[in-house]
Amino acid sequence: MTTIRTVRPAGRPAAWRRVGGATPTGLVFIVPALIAFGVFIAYPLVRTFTLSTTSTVGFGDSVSVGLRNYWLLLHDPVFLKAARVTAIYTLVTTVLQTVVPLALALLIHAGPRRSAIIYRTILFVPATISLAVTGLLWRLGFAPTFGPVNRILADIGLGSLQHPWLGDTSTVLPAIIVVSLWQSTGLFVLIFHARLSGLDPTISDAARIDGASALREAWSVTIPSIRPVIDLVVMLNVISGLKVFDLNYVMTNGGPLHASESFSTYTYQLTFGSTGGGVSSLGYGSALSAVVFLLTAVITIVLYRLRRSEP
Amino acid sequence: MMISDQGSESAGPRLAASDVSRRRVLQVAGLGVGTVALGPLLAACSSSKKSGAASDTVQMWDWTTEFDLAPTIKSYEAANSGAKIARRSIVFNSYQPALQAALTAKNEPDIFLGANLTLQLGAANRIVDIKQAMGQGFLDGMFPSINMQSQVGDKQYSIGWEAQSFGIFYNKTLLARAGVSPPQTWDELIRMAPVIRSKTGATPLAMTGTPGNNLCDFFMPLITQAADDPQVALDLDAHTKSGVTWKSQPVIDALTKVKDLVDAKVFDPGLLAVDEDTGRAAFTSGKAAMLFTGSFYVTVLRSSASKQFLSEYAIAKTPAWASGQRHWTANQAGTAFSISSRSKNIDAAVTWLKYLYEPTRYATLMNQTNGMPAVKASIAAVDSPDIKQMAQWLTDGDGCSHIFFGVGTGTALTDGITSIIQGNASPQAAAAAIEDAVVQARRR
Repeated sequence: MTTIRTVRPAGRPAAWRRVGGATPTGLVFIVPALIAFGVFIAYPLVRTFTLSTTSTVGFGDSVSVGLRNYWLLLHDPVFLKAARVTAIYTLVTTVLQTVVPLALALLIHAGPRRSAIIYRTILFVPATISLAVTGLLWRLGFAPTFGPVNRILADIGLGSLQHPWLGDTSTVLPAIIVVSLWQSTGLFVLIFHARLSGLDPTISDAARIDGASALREAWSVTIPSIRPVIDLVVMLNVISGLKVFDLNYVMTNGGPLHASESFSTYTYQLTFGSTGGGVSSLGYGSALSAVVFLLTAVITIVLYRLRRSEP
Repeated sequence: MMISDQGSESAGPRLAASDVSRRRVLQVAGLGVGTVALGPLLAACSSSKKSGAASDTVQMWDWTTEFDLAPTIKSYEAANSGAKIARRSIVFNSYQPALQAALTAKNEPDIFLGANLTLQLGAANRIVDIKQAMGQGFLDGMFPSINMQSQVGDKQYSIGWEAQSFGIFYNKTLLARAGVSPPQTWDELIRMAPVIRSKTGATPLAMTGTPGNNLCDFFMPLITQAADDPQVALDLDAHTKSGVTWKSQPVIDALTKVKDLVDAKVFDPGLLAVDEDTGRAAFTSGKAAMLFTGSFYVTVLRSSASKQFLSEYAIAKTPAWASGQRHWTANQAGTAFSISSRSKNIDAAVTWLKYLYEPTRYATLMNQTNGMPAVKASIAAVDSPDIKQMAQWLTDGDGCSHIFFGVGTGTALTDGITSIIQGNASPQAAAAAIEDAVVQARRR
């Protein structure tokens, strides 16, 4: 009987055989990706942290100030406002942009297949428009004098509800959230519907035979079956909420009175100077970037662990 | 490698030893990585023009997209053998971030509009002393206020290209329907606001209220009006003199005036959501009786408004603080060129700028775009009656600062004024908040 035994060729030390589970040849092939990671992610990250310990406008003397920028951040009312706005925006959009698309996907899935294609297409159209263009369109839409939103309200007899939506600190964030929901619903409907279409129909049939209502079936059978996709959508919405920039910048530039100021718009203002002028604070802006990075990393890790810990 | 007990090789697939060796793979991979890295390295080297020999191409950045300099550049290059001008126009809202990035990367153009960064750039020796570069005699032809805006000590860091003044553009038809004339004071405007609304249905005064420099353009001259002294606003912006504070009485008085205007419904109720386009559209469509804006609007108005509207509008001075007092209004250069001190083409840049400022050529360029000249002698050559009228205010001595150069001024002022418009704060509290914000910004 022939048996196989492994013979190490002479001259090759054991340590070279495998490094972290990869052969040296394999490592060579990932070098380009490692270079790209180093140049575009690792280096800027390290540079941001080192800049955050300096006071500089970017083109003059750079003074080392240690952790003073972080201390100033904790006492910066605009930073605290931006934190509040980002948290509210992330929480509300995550809930709305998960629940609403899921409900729509369930409704579409329950209907005829032909109409599903039509509904999915109609809902997906806003997702094909870039965020910057979306922001511009809705800025005009919400304009107090000329905007169609106020005009439509007047035309349908709800003129008393006319409002400077983007000019009021109490309505600006809800207005931006509505726009975000409008823009992103189609994409998440598509994701949910794709998963629903892949479910085994016999499970739903069994539930109906057992007398489950449509709502009961959705809650107890369908939704648990697509739980991984729901987790993914939640994660995508959280990350997207934490780094929101386009809509806030284009529609309101963070105003009025920073009522729509997110971490990203404030970082942009600090780093490049506010729109229309203003001296930048590159070191301080870098400190804010570093804080946002750490916050995002922590939240993402927590979410990931929660997903992994579920049965 | 797997070998059977019998010493023969296993029947599994294997490459012949001659086909691939580890050394060969490393060589190929190294060559590939080197090739990939070469591109960015070469690009980085070539973009760092400051480290190489001087080229005859003068790089120039601005946001004055309305100026067609192509024919002027062509004639300059034809007249100066070997000279090349590479001009890049960037829209206003994107200009400063682009400039900031270029300055941080030490890759700024030879000539650029320093905007609000001018004084900081001068302090950091990143731009040349224009007095040294172009000569005091050259600068004596500018409006003094335009020279002063970039002066620190005995140095000057920019040369004004286009001056600005602000006033009230008004709709003659609507004001006639309301039975009023352009207001001479703010109190007059407050009194006529309900009349204009009731008789025309129009907003009395449209203005940009979204975050940006617009509210500061309105407010800084208001401080000068309250103090009746243009030095007050300059000192506040600089914030270096002992005892100077945004909590001072002129600022509180100016904020109180804003509150009075808001309470009298002079502005659109949604002022904080009114951007530049919306405000202008309200004016040209008859939804606003008046518009507070600058001389730069003339060229936009003449090219975009209907023929009928062009015969319906006129321009009046910014209302004064009280009857008989000066109609203090903006008088600084919205666009002023600086020369990079790191440039290898400083002489070529100066030659090009002097070519641009040649009196006949400069006047022609200003007339092509209804621009307000920063050069005093060129006012006489202005064709546009609107620009002539607004420029006269400067020569009459009604001019004061409206552009902020100090660290933190812009954001602090915008927030303070916004809190008054929103009704969130009293003038005293808003003034204190402005002071706190400026102090905090300067600690960074």
